[in-house]
Amino acid sequence: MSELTYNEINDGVLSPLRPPRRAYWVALVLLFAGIGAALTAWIIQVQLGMGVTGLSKPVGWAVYITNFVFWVGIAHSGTLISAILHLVRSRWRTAVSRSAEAMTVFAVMTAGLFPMVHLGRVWVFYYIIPYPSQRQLWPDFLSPLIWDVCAVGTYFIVSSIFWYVGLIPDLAAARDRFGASHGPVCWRTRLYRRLSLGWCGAASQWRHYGRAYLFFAALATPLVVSVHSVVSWDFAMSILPGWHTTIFAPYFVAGAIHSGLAMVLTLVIPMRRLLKLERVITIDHFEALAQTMIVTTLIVGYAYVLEPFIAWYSGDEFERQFALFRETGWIAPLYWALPLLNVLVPILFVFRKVRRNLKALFAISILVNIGMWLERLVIITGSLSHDFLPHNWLSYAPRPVEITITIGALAFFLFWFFGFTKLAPTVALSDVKEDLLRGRRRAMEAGEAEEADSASREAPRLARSAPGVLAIFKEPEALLAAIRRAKKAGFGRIEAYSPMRLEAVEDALGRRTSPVRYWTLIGALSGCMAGSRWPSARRSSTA
Amino acid sequence: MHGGFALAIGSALVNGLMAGGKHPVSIIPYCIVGFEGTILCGTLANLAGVLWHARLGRPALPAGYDERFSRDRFGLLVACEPHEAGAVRSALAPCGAEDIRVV
Repeated sequence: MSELTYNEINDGVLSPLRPPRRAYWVALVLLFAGIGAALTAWIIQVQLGMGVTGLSKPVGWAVYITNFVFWVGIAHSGTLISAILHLVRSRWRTAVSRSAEAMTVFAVMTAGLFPMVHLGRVWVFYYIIPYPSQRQLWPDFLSPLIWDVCAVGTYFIVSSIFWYVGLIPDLAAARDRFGASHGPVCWRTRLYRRLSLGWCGAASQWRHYGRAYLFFAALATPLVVSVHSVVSWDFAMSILPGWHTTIFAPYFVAGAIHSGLAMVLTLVIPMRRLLKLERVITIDHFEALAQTMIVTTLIVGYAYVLEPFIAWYSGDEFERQFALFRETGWIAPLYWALPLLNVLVPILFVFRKVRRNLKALFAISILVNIGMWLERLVIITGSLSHDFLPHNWLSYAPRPVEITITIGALAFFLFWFFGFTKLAPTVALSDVKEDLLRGRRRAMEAGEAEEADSASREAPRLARSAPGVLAIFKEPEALLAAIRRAKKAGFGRIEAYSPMRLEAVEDALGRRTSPVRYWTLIGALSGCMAGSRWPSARRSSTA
Repeated sequence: MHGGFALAIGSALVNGLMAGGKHPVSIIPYCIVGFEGTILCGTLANLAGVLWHARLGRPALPAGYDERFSRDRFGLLVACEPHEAGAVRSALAPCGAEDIRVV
């Protein structure tokens, strides 16, 4: 990728936004048909009741909750790649981060359908939302299910904002490209103009943007850990054998990232080929993903070993009989498929040849996706079907309505992802360009030290209509030199424009800190505990 | 401003559900709600901050903006009075600018 120019990256990433071919529309129609089938099945379920599903006593949670947990898990890798790897300054994330973020948002949307589907009486779903009810009915925040609503709802909002904010500079690039090629009244130009919010790549914008993006990453990182921990507590807070265990939170988080990384491979490998992004998304990026999966594979494998060990070591006869049931009962074929699909298959990534073979990567990612879905099914239905009372033990099998809705949910997820690939840049343009520049940054920073005295004087911000002289440069080094010369000549009211963030330019302009941090701090503190007068006021009103 | 803790504590006090003689407010589980509130409001405030300070939300682009700035070129706008334009040009000329124009 290092041999590419900024222009080639721009063209390579924005070219797929051209009108789609017939095959794309056929795929979209098929996905729409899948969604329609699922919707029909859901309507049948609402009309006839939950009896059309395989749910019964004792298995009251099954495929729908499995799908919920699976799709929330899929959502995790987007934040891992974008937020966590951004914080640790990992370079390989840039090529796949935007697709992974989009996947996160669409996966949470898909996951969010299942509590409503599972509820049966979907029209009372709003009871779970904390709002000032006329009947003084408020959710009970002691319930893990309410924690789930808070965590998943927060995750959806934060992921969507994180994704959209990351897209803004790239949407501006799309706006300028379509404006030049299709004119200002083309619907795409107008769409990107609105969505890019007037982004112009000014140094004063990059400064606040860079700081805000860092805070988004810092806020999203603990959130991603909390969300699947909270989902795991839906189970771990109960007393059922197999569920009531303290390893569930890390076990679920590792599993979520494991399945999410596999889904990134599943989506990005064909996307790269169909959109002809081979020069931007290289085999090295896939190899880095596979290497990350080795870590999650080992954690998941450790959890698989630990579960039966805890059952044995605890001395609890219910835990022991449940472990035996998983190993020998009706669920055993599924149970034994888990270490095979989720550990033994992806551990093949230790071999470099496998990591650099696209067919192998794709096949393994599919198998891990299947394995991780089965893992959730085994966890959820297993404990319910084999609890403390032998006369209560029953098996479970999904009915056609559940299978149709499950397949329809996959179509729903893919439908959104297909739409994304044709409407928004699938690669983080500005990040990739910044990555290219990073190799040359050292030279720029060396020069920057010489001008430390001039950098200390902050250049005032210009009004948008300020008259002046505009110079256009091919290289950022020339821009930096021009800023210094202009400041030396006594011109302090200057603004710089660039297609990517240039910290050296911000330094030269004397604008490094951003007041956005105060906004974030105040928002976070008020979100934590403000409004102390409110509870007492409510109490007195009900007394 | 209703933070996560206030929401959870307030709800518990309104509901007033006494279980086993214990006080309806239980701080430990409310830490989850407080945490999610922290992240959510911090993110929303962060978004508001960047929108405000980066002056986003105004579709009009600044005078002299060149569409190549989002592609592969770098621009420098030096604000000056019309009679200073010559001095600015001569200051920037040695830096290898592709194009210098008055906007």
